[in-house]
Amino acid sequence: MTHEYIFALLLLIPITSGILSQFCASQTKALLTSFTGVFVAILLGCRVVMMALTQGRIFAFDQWLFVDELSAWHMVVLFLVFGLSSLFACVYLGEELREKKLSLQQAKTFAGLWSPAMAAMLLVLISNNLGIMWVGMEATTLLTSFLVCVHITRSSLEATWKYMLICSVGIGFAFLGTMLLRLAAKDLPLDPNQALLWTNLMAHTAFLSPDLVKAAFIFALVGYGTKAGLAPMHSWLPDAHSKAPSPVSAIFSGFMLNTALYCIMRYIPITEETLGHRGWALNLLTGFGLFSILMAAAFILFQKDMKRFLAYCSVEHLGIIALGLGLGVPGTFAALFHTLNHSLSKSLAFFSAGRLGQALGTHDIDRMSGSISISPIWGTGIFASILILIGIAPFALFMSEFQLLKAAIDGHHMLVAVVFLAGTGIIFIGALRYALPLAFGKPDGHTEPIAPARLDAFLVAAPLLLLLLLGLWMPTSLQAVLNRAAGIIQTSPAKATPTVQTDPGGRR
Amino acid sequence: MTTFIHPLLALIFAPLLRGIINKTKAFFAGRQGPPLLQTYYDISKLLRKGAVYSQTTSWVFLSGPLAGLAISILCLFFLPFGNISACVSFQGDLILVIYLLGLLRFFTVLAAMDTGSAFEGMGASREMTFSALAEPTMLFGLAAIARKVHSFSLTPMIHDITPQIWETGAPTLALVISGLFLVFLAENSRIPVDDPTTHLELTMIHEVMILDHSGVDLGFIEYASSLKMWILGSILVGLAVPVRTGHLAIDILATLAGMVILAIFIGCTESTMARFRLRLVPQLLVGACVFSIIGFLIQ
Amino acid sequence: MLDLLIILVVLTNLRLLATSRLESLISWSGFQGMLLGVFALLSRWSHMAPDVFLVGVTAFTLKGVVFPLMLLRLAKTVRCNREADPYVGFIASTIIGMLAFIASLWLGARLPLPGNDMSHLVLPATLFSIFSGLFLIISRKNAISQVIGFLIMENGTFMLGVGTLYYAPFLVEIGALLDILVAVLIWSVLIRFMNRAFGNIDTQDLNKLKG
Repeated sequence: MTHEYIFALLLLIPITSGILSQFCASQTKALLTSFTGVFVAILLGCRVVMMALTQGRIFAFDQWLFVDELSAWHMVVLFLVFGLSSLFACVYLGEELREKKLSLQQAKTFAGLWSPAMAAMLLVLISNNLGIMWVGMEATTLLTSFLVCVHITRSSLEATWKYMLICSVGIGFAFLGTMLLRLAAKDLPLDPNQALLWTNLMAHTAFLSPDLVKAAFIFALVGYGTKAGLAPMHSWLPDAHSKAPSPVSAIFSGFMLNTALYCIMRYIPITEETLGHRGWALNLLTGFGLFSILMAAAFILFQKDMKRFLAYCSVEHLGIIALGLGLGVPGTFAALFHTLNHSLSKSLAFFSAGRLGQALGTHDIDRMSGSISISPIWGTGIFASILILIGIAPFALFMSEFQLLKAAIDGHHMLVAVVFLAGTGIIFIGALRYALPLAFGKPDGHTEPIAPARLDAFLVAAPLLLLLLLGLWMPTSLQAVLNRAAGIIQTSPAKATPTVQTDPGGRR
Repeated sequence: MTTFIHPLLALIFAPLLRGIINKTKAFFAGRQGPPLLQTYYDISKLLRKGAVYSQTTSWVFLSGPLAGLAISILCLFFLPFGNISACVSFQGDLILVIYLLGLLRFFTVLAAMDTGSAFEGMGASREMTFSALAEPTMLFGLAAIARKVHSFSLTPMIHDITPQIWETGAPTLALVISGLFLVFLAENSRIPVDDPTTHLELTMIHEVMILDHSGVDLGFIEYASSLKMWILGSILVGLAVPVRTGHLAIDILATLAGMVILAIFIGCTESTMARFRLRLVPQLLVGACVFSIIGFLIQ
Repeated sequence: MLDLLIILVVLTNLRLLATSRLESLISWSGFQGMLLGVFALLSRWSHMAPDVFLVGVTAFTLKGVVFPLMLLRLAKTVRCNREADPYVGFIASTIIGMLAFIASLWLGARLPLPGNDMSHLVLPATLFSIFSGLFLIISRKNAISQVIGFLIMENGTFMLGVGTLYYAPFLVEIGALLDILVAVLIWSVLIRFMNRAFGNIDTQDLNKLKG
């Protein structure tokens, strides 16, 4: 009973704070109402996560909602990203308010959509019913669309249009996938209302019809893959990320893409078990992952806009996560670890790029050179985040990519390993070419330096330190959680789930 | 004797159809309209007159009307009339009928082009374009019916269209009938494809091809076009009116009534619609083709 | 009867592919919505329950009445009633539509749906609707035509959802319908913004973000 209470609160509080912010009379009050809702939800959510990790699965509302280790892990990432982004939004929008560039209507739009977007993403994570998961995913698209064009300009409208159109088409495909899965479950000896529950489907995979499950998986992969930014369905990503305000870009890259991939993660075990663990679904994922990495590599080489560059970087990293999912248990472990690393570093990158862009008035890479002299904090932030994103040791992102590579080689997928290395190598070279002048070049024009603030320092230091820490040392509890989460995705009756050990020294 | 009923009925009653159509249009317009038997009067008047032949024409021009009449009468022998069998029937005779109609068109077009006149050439090219779209429609439509009744001959096909078939195959039959109806309008130069009463040559399709014919030739052409209307109409009515009682008189009466209703319906269509722009006629015919193809596919 | 409804839906799709006037597009998509509402009610006539009835009525109202009215008002506001010149001409669109229908029939035969006492045309019609919707989105430049393409796609998946005996829970279907409603609302607002910013709703102008 308490579970239902807390789940309901978890969803209702952000929604209510979003609604309440519409009645506020000033921009600051509206934004603060929304952010308070976010933080209260984060506190509640942490409680839920602790419960899930200690007690195992928690169910609520007639098993329509549930939390297991996989959901809990993603909730942790969500809370980190949303928390940090809300703090950053205070900085970013605060600056806009100081420059009188944020009208009351715009602030209310932002506030009214910010916390409900979090509620929608939470709904995706905690739903057991695949149909409700779909509803949540569609809700994230709908709620975040106006966040992209808070400032209405021609390019932001173009970006929003493409985003809405492409993602709605994708979600339509995902709905078809859900319906086909429902049809595949026709022989389930259950009440129809319980037939779309993930837990039930997992328990009764013997009753599912293989052809329909295959069709359902393909549609779900393409549909949710569109939302996740897997190539070739990624065309909305660079536009939306570059034209949205930076806090919004941060939650897009930091969490919304992962939410979509989470939906695919729920479909994988069903498909794999029904088809006898022959790796059919995993191969598809590997294919999409590699293709995304290569596409991103190709496009990154000639980017001129900082945020677009970061967007393509997201495509690459989502491709890496998909690739990891396709490589079996050790790959999935690496992929799940990678979600945290990517979200943290990408958020930091968007924070820095956004703040610097705000100060300089442009996101053009050439014109943003010498950022360290303009602002030591944010300049370090952007330099460090770019380096982390391309996989510099000893940060955590390097570790997860390394584990993934090891998984590929151990599984004798040599071609996969080669292509992966080639893609990430190209991106390494391409990005490094931008990073040095960006940080240490001569600043263009006369921009006054940004005054350092404690919040800024915290926003840069916290992710950096966390990434450094995780790169050097993985706590055993974290490892256990990741192992269990990986086991949920890659169920295998034949062999026992092998666990992955990391050397405390960070050397393997 | 019963085998020749359909040709006899057609030869006698075919010109009446046009009379009914004109009477219906007059009714819509609040006029008296020409008498029902006007076409008979026109044909008999034309048969008594002499013809004028241009010096630029050759035997092709002479053969056009003759071939037209001959082929139309020939077609009558292959067509069933509702429940009444055709005189000659064999597997594949539906293809023969469609090709005979094509041959008819061929001779008409040749005769038109033989005059060397620009108008008739224009009419000829339009006719061929629209027929290129109308023929597949007919083929697919009849193929759909053939698939449904598992027979490739017109007589068994139309014979088997009973009310039971209508119950189970209503969507297919409805689609095929819609497609064939549009073909009927196109082949017989009815609105919305072609206005039979226009006097502007640039807007004509069929009328302009027979501009230079006169006298007996024109009489033959008028009669042949009435027969063509009867031919296509009898296929349509055979599909649409599923009266198969087995009693000769009732079947004949039912099918005749169907033809009259078809003529009235054409009259209504002509009175309520305007002619389509020439550019849109291919789209209309493609639409008809789509109906037939879908009718064929959903079997 | 169900067969007839599905054939009518397929025919309306083809009509939509072949038409250029915006009012025509909107009215035909509204007609298709009404057909789907009737389909939803008829297909589950034998096990009618309050929630099933509600889904059918909601679908009929939303897809058949509300969306066309909203889109018509939108078209009037942005003063646009004709498609400029689409990327693919109309006869070509019809032919491509026919080929797509043939392909959908073939695919539908390969993927037999359970619950065969319903029409065997449900899956082909669904796939065909999805294809038509996608094709409308890709081949038309007018923003409202693209919205209608999306609605057609959703009509397709809705048909699959209600056309077999094994349907999703009531909340999911209502959730889906409401999601589409919100999406159309968002699009209306976006199109109004676009009209104000660009002066027209020709999506050809939305090509500045490249690379």
